[in-house]
Amino acid sequence: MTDNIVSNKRPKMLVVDDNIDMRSLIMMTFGSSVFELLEAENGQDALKIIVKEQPDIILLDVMMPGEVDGIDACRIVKTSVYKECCVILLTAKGQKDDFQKGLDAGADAYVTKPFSPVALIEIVNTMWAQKQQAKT
Amino acid sequence: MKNTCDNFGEDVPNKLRQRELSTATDLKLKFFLEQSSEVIFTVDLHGLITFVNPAWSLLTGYALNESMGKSIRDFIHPDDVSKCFPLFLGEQNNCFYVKFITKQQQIVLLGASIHVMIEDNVLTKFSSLVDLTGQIRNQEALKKSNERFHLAITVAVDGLWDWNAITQEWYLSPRWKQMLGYNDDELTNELATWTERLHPDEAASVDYALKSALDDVTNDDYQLAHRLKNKAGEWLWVLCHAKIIRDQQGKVERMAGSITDISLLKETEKQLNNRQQELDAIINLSPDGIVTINHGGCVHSVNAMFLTFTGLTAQGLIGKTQAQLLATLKAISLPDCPAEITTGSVFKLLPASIFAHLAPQVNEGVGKNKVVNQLSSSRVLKVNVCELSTDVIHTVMYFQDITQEIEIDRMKYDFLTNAAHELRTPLSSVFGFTELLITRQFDPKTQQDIFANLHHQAQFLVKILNDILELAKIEARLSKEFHLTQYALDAVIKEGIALFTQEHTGCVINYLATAEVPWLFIDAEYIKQALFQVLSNALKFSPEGSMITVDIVGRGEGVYEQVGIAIKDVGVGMTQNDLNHIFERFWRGSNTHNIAGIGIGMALVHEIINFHRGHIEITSEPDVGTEVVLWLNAHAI
Repeated sequence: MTDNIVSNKRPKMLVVDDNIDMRSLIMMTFGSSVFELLEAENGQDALKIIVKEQPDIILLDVMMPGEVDGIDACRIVKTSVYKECCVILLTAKGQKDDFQKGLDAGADAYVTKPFSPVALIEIVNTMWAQKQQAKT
Repeated sequence: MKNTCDNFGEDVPNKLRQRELSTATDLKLKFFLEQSSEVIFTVDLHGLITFVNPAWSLLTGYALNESMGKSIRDFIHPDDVSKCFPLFLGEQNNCFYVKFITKQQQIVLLGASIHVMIEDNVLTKFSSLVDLTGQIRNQEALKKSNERFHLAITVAVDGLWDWNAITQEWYLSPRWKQMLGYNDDELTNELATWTERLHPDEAASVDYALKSALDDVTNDDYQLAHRLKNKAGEWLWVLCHAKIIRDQQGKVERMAGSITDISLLKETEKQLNNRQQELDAIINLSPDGIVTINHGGCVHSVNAMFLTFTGLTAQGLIGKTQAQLLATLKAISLPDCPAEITTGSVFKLLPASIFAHLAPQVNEGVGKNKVVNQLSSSRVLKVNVCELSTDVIHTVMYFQDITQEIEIDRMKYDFLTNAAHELRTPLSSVFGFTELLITRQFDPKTQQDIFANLHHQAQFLVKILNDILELAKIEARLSKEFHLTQYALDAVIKEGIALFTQEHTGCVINYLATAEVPWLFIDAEYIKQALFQVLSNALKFSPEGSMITVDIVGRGEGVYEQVGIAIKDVGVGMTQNDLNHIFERFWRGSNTHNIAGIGIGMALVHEIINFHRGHIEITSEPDVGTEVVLWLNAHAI
């Protein structure tokens, strides 16, 4: 399942969700053997980790407590020097305007909860492959 | 004098004859006497004719020689003898009517004048007669026409009246009397008949109006509505309308007019007036703001509710054009204000304009987190424009307060989306983990962990379900109308605490009634509900067995202006960030992870206190405790 990952080094994945069960589900879905997994439970913490670790892929929950929600965090990342990373918004909300807000904030993909782990892996792989192609 | 007169009575004509009219003056006198159409004659003290001029023959048909020496009495109509004969014998200037009988046995009406002159102590007296028969004929013709007129007016709807200012004769038509319930012969034709029946409230105004009309020589019109008492003692509204006839000098000769029964009109007017008052009351009690626009496009009236909504004054609005009204509304509305006032326009008013005077003072606690809720939701007005076809009002604008509807819609939306969110999180776990279990092989330990997680998620789902059901119950209770009644706050708090301890046995609540509090206008059920919610929170976020304190506090000069219910716990407390969100629905504090609830309690309390025009103050410190004060206005709201 990680055949498409064209890199010698394990890509860094940041999982941001206020719910610990969601984080463990996502991390179990991808597995630490393929990705270097990082986690944050809110927007502010996520931004700190992004600066420090510069992850390749960010799975970002939209609705989080605190001053920075998923959309805000996405917008900040996509307008910063870290804009090359893949941001996949992950949310319970499925409304059209949320989808649009995510796109406006520069998200690469948008997945609604409940999601299929298999489908999420495919989305991440496709996204990652595109990024790698664009780089070469 | 008598003697002189006697002598003169015989003397004067003799002298006239005897002097043979020798002088020029005498010639002139003779000519005048002979040519005059007026009869000029003299009588002695017995009334015997001593001189007459030729006009006498023309008037009476008797020759001069036939008449000389005869008593004037013989020519007077028998009806007038007793009245008029002595007048001819009198020695004063006099004018009177007298009827004579002519030689042809015709009755003639004459105007008699007695002229008396005294010169050098000598009294000279002569009389003159003028034929008035012609005038009388005219009067008779007039009388006939009057009779016809009278016939007409007896059947007319209006009562007629006629006043001869010269003779002071009054005429009130049979219909006039009939209108008051009398037969023609029951009332006399005089002014008193009228004045005695005037309503005391109007007697003075009738008198004044009449005098003013008569005094104003340029005026020939008189009109006034007043009441007259009818035979049954009831008041009848009449409209009196009259014409004033004046002579060339403007002196009133006659005044005649009609009275019209306007009782029905007055009754209708009264009903209209009542209806108007009813309407005014309805308009002013209306829960909608109402603005009326006249045909000139200007504000004609505004009702009380519109002023309450907007905080504007009637003086500031009446007479303004629609454009000015719109500009005024724009000035107190949020920027997304409609460009015109039409049906469907929605104005979101700035909250400050309405509730500025209710802003609470905040006493900052040192080192503690504090929040004071305010009535932050702005009032939303929806316009309904209705065009009328009345003479005065062209347009009526209804401003409906839809703040609550919008709030309810928002609440429904929030509820559904938040409930969906709450459900999705555990469902996502169940969905994701089961898919992983199906598609992958896990070692027994991981598998065990996943099953444990799934069980936990299922439990969580059950809890959410229960919370939603609880919320539905609260919402159902909250959806009933608020009813403000005077209650003793102390009793309400005691009941609220009793209700709470019933459900939470073992919970210790220490109730101190520090402030003595007057009766308040509150909805006791909702205040109890609010207290219940705050107590639930205090209990939930406090260590088991710890003390919760409830107190009544007051503030304000003299008599308390505001009265608070203070609930204090020694629980986990809250951060400033938590406090900023505390009144939001579905918000849960950062240190609440292990405590059941979906974040609805304080939002409900907030709504209840808002309704009472009160406010909530919360002082909290993490790991020390929280104090919530529900402030209510001590005065009726």
